[in-house]
Order: sequence, then C-alpha cells, then structure tokens
Amino acid sequence: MITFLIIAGIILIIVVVSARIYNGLVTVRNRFKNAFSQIDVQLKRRYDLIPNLVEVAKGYLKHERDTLKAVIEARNSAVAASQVASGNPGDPSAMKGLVGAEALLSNSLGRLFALTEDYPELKANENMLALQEEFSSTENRIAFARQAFNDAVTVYNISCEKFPSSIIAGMFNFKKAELLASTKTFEERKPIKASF
Amino acid sequence: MDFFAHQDRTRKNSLWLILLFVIAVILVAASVYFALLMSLNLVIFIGNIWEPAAYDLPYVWINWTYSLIIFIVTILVIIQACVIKIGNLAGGGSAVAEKLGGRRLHRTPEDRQAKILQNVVEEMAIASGVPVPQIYLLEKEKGINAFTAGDKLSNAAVAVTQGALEALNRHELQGIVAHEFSHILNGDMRINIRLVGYLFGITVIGRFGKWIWDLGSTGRKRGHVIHIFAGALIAVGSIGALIARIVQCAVSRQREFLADATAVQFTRNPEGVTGALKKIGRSIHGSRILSRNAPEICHMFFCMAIKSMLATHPPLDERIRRIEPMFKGKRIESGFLQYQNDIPEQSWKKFDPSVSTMAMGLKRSKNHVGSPVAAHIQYSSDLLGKIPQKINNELDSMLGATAVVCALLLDRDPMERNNQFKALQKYAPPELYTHVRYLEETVRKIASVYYLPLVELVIPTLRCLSPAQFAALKRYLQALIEADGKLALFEFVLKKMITYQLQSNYRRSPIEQVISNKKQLTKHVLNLLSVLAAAGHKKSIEVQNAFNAGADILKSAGFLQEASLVRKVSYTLVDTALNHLALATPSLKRDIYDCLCACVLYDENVTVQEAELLRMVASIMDIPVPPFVQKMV
Repeated sequence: MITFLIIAGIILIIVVVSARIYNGLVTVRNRFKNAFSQIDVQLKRRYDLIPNLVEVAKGYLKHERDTLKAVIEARNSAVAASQVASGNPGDPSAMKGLVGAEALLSNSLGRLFALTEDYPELKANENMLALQEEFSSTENRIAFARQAFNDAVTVYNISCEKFPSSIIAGMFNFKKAELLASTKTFEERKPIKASF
Repeated sequence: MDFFAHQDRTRKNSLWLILLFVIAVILVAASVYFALLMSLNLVIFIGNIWEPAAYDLPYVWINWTYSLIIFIVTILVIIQACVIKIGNLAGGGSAVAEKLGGRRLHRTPEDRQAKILQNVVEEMAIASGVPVPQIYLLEKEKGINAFTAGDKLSNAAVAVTQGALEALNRHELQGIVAHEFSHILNGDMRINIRLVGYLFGITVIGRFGKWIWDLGSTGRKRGHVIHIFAGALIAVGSIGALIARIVQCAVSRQREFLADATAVQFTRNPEGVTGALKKIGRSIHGSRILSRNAPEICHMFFCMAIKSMLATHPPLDERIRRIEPMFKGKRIESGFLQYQNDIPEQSWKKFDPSVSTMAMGLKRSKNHVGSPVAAHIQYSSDLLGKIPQKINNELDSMLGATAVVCALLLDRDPMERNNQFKALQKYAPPELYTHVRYLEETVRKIASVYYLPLVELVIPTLRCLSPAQFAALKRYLQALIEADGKLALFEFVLKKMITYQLQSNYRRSPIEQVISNKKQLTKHVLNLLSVLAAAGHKKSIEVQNAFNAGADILKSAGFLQEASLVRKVSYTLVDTALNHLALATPSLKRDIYDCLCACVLYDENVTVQEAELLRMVASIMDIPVPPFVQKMV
C-alpha cells in the first residue's frame, strides 16, 4: 500500500513538472510569434511605400518600364510571402520564402535607386528624397524588430533542445523555429546618410 | 475612499481570500478522502453481492495513516495546480489576453475603429498617469465585452471583442475602457488573478476526475470500477466548482457597480456606459464569450460572459438604472438610439504647456490620485493631438521607441549633448544613433509636460523588446546619464521610471516584498525629500523651508520626531531610496506622497518641471497621478 502511494506521489511530481515545462514552452513560443508581428508591421509599412515610389518615378522614368514593373511584381510577391509567414512564424519554409522574396525586392529596388543616379531631376525630386529617407529608416526599424524576433526564436530553440524540456517538446510536437535571416539590402551596401 | 484606501482594502481582502482558500482546500481534501473511501466500499459491496464466493472483503473504514497520506497528496496536487496557474498568469495581462485568443493591436492600426480604440485607451492612460496598457482584440468573439488583466500598473493589458469594436461608437468605447481602467486603478486586477489561480486549484480535482472517467470509458474490463472512482472525484470537483463560482460572484458583483460609477465620473458622460450596456442588451450575441478559457476569468469581464445560474455581474437593467434612473428596461427592437450630445461645451483654457505656475492644479490633484475626471481626459486628448508628427511616427516601432527614450535624456547644453552622442555612438548600433540624431531637434523643442506622457505612450512598444535588447537599452540609458556632466534630477528620475516600468516585464519576482515598518523607510524618505527640495528651489533658505514643510507631514504621520536636511545626496542614494519606497504599503505611500507634495507646494511657484518630477516619482511608487491641469471645471 505504501509503495503504491509512493509511486503515485512520484507520478504526481512528474505530471506537475511536465505541466510546468509545457507551459514554459508555450509561453516562449508565443513570445516569438508576437515578436514576428512587430516585424510584420514594419514590412507592411515598407510595402505601402512602394506604390508611392513607383508613382513618383514613373513620371521621370518613361523608358524604364521594365524596372518599374519588376519592382511592382517583386513587391506583390513579397506581400504574399509575408502573409504566409505571419500565418506561421518560425516555420522554416515560410521564413525562407520571406527571406527570398525580400531579397528579390531589395534587388529590384536597388536597381531602381541605381537608375535614379542617371536622372538628376528625379534624384533631386523632393518626394523621391523623402521616400528614400523613409525607406532607409524602415530598413533600420525592420532590423531592430528582426533582432528581437531572432532573440526570441533562439530562446525557444534552446528550450526545445535542453534536456528535460526536450522530452516534452518531442511529445507535444514543438518543432524548432527558423531564424529570420537578413537580406543584404541596397541600404546596407551604401553607408547610411546621417541627415542632421 | 481614495486610491490608497482602495489598495489597502484590496490587500486585506486578499488575505481573507487566502484564508477562505485554505479552508476550501482542507474541505476538498477531506471530501476526496471520503469519496475514495465510499467508492472503495461501493466496489466491495457490489463485489460481495455479485460474486459472494470470490469476494468477501470487509468494508474499509477510516484508517488514519492512509487518510493522512491521501490528505497530503490531495493538498499537494491542489497547491501545485494553483502555482502552475498563477505562474501562467504572472506573465502579465498579455498572457491572459493571449490565452483567450487576443491579437495584439499595434499603434498604427489597420482600420478606423481600431484607431479610435487606440486613441481612447491612450487618452485614458495619460489622463490617469499610468503607462499605456497593451491593447488586444478578441477577433473571434461577436459578443460585446472587454476585460483587463495584469497584476501591476506597468503590466496591464486591455482586451476588447470584435463585436464591441464594430457595434460601439467612440463614447461607448470610452465608457467600457473607463470601466476597465477603474478596475486597474482600484487594484482589482491583482486579486482577480490570484482568484483565478485559487479557483483552478479547487476545480482541478474535478478535472482530474473527468480525465480518469475518460480513461475508464475506453472500454476496459474493470471500467466500472474506474467509473465509480472517477464519478466520486467529479462529484467532489463539482462541489469545488460550485464554491468557486460563488466566490467569484461575491467578489465581483459589488465591484461592477463601483466600476460603472467611476467610469461615469471619469468620462462625465453617462451615456457612454449606458449606451454600451443597452447595445449589449439589444444584440443577439449579448456579451457572450465563446473561448474555452472564458469561465475561469468570467469575473474579469465588463459584462456576463457565460450563461450561468450564478451571476458574476449585476443584471443589465439594474446597472443601467443605477446611472439612468428613468430607464424603462424595455428591449428596443432595432434602429439607433438617439444619443443626445448635450454635454455643455467646456471652456477649456487653451492648452499651453509654457505656463509655469501649476500650484492650483497640484493642490487639487491630491484628491485625484487614482481617480481622474473628465478634465484630465480633455487635457490628455489635447496633448496627444499636439505631439509632433515626427515623434508620433516613431512611437510604434521598437527602434523608434528606443530612440525617443534616448533622445529624452539628452541635455540642453550643446557641449554635454556632444559628450552624450559620443557615448551613444560607442555603445549603440548605428541605426539607433542615426535615429536619435534625427529626433534630436524635435525632442529638444517640446516642453517638459510631454516627457512623461511620451514615456507612457512608448512603454507598450518597449515591452516587446527581447531581454537582450532590454539589457542593451539599460546600457544606452546608463551611458547617456554618465556622459552628462551636468546631470539633473529630472533626467535621472526619468531613466529610473523607464527602467522600473519595464522591468516587471522581464524579471518575475514571485513574492512581493512589502515594507510596513516606518523606521525602515525614514532615512530613504528624508533623502528623497532633501533632493526634491534642493531641485526645486535655488536659495538655501527656500530649500530648508520646503524641506521643513515636507518633514512636518512626516512628523504628523508618525515617521519621525526630528528631521534634518541631508546635504549631499548622491544619485545612488536616490536610487536606493526609490527602490525601497516602491515597496511601502499603500497607507505609508499616501503619507510619503503627501509629504513630497507639501515640499513642492511650499512656495506657490511650482514649475512644470517640478510638477512632472513629482509625477515621475509617484509613478515609480506605482501611484497613478493624473496630469496637473490648470483649469478644472
């Protein structure tokens, strides 16, 4: 009888500890999911800037329709990728998809900005300057938010790997999450202009 | 009853609650034992009847060793369950909101209604003098309802259902949010969360029983034995659940009337609250919440969240009649109710932050701690409207929020500023440095009245920083402070306030230390008083007089007999003092706040800086002091 009770007691302790670990995993997972939404907000800001950019540039770049079209298409596919990613943050394929789409977008934007070098009127256009400024600060905001996300993902992944929690993680299907890699943007290649 | 009395009463109630809980646990443990006993006897009884030859066991009677063991095991289970539950909820209000399926609303929301909600919450937070809570939307809920959760002022979250967002106009949203804020300011949240934990503990036996029942139902041979055992546990559990519901109801009913009344006083617009209640009465979905986790926290909602015999909230029409005695209580079929906007236009003094004398505002404000009024909302609405767009754009991104907070610590003197920038360049990443430089001009030009509200606006965004980023932020702030050769008390306290409001997010302190011993606090209060007196006055005779004014209050409150001005108080001492004072009991905090007010009010020449400094110190002590408004109608 006593042994039965002792075994029951041990089972009880195991159950309680497991519950604690499970809740810990859930908390940490929620944290990185929330952190992703911060990135999402800034990405949306960026995507909303692009149609303005194209409108301003269209007037001057009458013969560069291909570049403009590439920008719009890259933007649309990036929007789609970001929607997939925000539905499932940390999922490896979604993250990689987002990084890929963002890289594509940065490339086409880079070409567009490079083009403005050849069109001094466009380059000096006030709207254009304001938009470029907005872009560079949005890039910075995304970088900051991405760091918070990656920090949170790292904590989650460590929890999934460490000894007692790894058992619970395996039992309840907590998969490791993928970090969001940075894409080398046009802004990162160029030193950030500090305007005082 | 003022804010401090409310807090005191809540603390006492928490102790009563713990006592009740202990009794309940003992009762439950005893019932579990008897349930086990009876079910064992029942099995033996059935066995004896069916197969008399095989079984002929004697009935089991009370055996003290076994009963003790079972007792202890049950109590351990319950306590562990409570600890787990409370641990779950200790993540602050956001954890609770997320459990119910809430989605965090960001500061640049997608649609108009969300923006209105955002503005309403921000106005109310700034009007109360508390950090803006995180705002959640319960998207899947069509009922009209809302709740707040969180155990500290810096930790709070407000959640509103999709149904409420779509159905209510601005006045009504304001009414609901004001109701929730009154819960925050009356200290209800803390006790609510504890209650959830305790109730979970009592009902866990029932859940356990249900789980065992399900195990037995998988068609095993001795299934009925398990069913009997499980049935007994479920019976015990339901009794526990019943007790739980009764406690929930008792705790929350009276509070709801109080919260409604406070909300009306807050907004000066009774039609906000009654309008919301009427719309709930009219709607098909009412205020029902569908989430599975709703029953646990049903006492925390604005209105009845689940259909139940036991009501956690007073009936709708009674609540409306308390505010609008003429209400007939008929369900109105369809169509809009005509809202008469006959609130007389207040002749507000035009919002002018450059005015330097705030003495009148401060005197009246002592009555307003924790109970703001419509004048404060009007003031904060004006203030929010006048924040420069450049700064406004930064408030919703973590980088922007960090940059704003760093920029607020920059010194006015260009040479010191240069030193600070050098330090920032050393410690901070380039994008932060650039952002701070970008904001430097704009922040330098705004008046001191904006500083505290800006911090309150920025806290919800900063709560998203990862622990590593928060540690980095503390380093940047420290570097800025140290690089400033002419550090003023204002900047120091500003940094302290930011760190204090955020750290509850990152550091979980399970048991909160409370200091109720006046002698322990005396030297800290004296340090703080001396520093405050010196900061606000130039001539040493004035400093002495201001100090004496504060010390007199301390003497009459029984803190000390003699007090002498402390000459050189280092910032480290101020830091320690603030840390200790934050842990004082509510009535001691009242005395301390009165003393500090007396010191600042000593001469009628109260500058904006002095007043805001006082508010910041109050904020570090978790005292919600509304902004000081010039003209209060």
